[in-house]
Amino acid sequence: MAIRDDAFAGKPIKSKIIDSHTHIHMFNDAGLYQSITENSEIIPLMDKLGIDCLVTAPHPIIYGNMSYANQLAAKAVLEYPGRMYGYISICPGAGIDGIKKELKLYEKNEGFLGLKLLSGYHGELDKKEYLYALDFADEMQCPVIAHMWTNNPTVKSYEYVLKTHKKLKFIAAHLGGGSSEYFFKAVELMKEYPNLYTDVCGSLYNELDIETITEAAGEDRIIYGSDLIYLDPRYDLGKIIFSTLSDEVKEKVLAENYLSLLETSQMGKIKI
Amino acid sequence: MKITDINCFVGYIESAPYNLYTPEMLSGKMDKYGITNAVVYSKWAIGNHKEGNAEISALSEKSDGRFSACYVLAPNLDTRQMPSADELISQLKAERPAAIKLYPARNGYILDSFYCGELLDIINEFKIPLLLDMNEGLNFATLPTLANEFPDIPFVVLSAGLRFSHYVSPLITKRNNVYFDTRDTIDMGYLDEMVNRFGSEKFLFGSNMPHMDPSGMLSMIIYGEFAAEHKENILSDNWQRLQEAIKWQ
Repeated sequence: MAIRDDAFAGKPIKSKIIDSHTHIHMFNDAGLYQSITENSEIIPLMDKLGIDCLVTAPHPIIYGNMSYANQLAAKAVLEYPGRMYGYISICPGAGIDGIKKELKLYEKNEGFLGLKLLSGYHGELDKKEYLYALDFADEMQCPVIAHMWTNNPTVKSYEYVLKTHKKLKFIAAHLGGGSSEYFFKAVELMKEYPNLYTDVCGSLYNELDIETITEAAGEDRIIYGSDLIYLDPRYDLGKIIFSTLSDEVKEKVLAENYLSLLETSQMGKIKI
Repeated sequence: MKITDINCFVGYIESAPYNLYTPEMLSGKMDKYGITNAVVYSKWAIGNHKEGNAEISALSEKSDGRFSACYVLAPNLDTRQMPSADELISQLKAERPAAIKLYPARNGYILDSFYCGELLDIINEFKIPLLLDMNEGLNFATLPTLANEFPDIPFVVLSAGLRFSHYVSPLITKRNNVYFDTRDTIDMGYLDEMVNRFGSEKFLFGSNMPHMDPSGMLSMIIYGEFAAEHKENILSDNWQRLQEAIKWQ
């Protein structure tokens, strides 16, 4: 239980940690506040916690500003190689042509690891623009992380995606929708679709502890992500590192499960 | 390291997989995370103040300091629901709860000096911490006035972290008697900034156990970018000082 001991001592965690769900760049809508906003300030916090690297879809994705989000991710990748990786942000409002253009721009950039969809904010997952991007991800075998919050997007729409994309590496974010109710719906789908994963990001309103979560979903299907800098990464990390899970399981959740998603991907890879 | 969680309960909760949270479940979670003691109210006290408070008082008495009682009261003194002011004063003196909680929204009243003045006068006299849930009728528009009208009540706002920085900062800097628990305080780096700018005295560790898991908030403090003395303040010392300031005589 070395990880738990280090956690209670406030020491950086020595095991590999990948924060797979982040949003860099200041964003103050909805009453949010960030005291840490610059990438140069994020790195010391990562060091303090022992986070090796993060994967990001910058905040402009929320307002549908796909190009700006991807430019910011590309800049972060360049400035902090090996510490900051990017997702290609996909915003359906830009249309299929707009999405094609962004995919072409970044698909060969080794700092980009997969796609980020802000489903719910931007509509259902079965809309044609998303399906185009999902076909691309299926072909590239790269991970796709899709926002889920309660039933928005609907469980039905992401089940459709899973049905039609059997090899897609699909991460239903926020434990499948924030609450325990939607987590257990995701667990039901996980039994049918081995390519479905979820992350612990935004677990603030979910009463389940990580022991219950890994037991229900399986220790290979849970991935660490924090929503940094939308939220403080210490919260969701704490759920894992302070828990009584074995170090072996913690290591899976903190990094190994995500790394396994990248093994066959034709997009970028994490170098730790 | 001593850790006091000021936001705990036992009893029934809607929309939770376990529904009924027992003292043993709370105690088990405290053991898991090394939490020394907890300020606990009974959910039943929202529905029946007398019985619920008696339940939590009895639990506290036999807990050897592990559980401190938080009473849920209401402002309609001298009725079938609540004792008279004199009776309540005698009861509080005898039973010495660590805190009081009010539920204006669920119990159906407005928390101000007009509707709650007599009860708040008693709490003010004793200087007992008054815990108020964000989603239970607490109004940030009226809290500054209330805090001025009842300057000896430590008003402790629960679960007002995320997205509420526009309220938290002014209340910390402009009122001496408004405190916040740490549940939900996960705006990026906000707790660090507040502590380093204004001190740690207004923050208290609270997690809403046993329904919620305290690990995230524990992490926010243990990995906080502030001095060890501030961590001790938040985790236990601030609450200890509030308890020592209660005037039972």
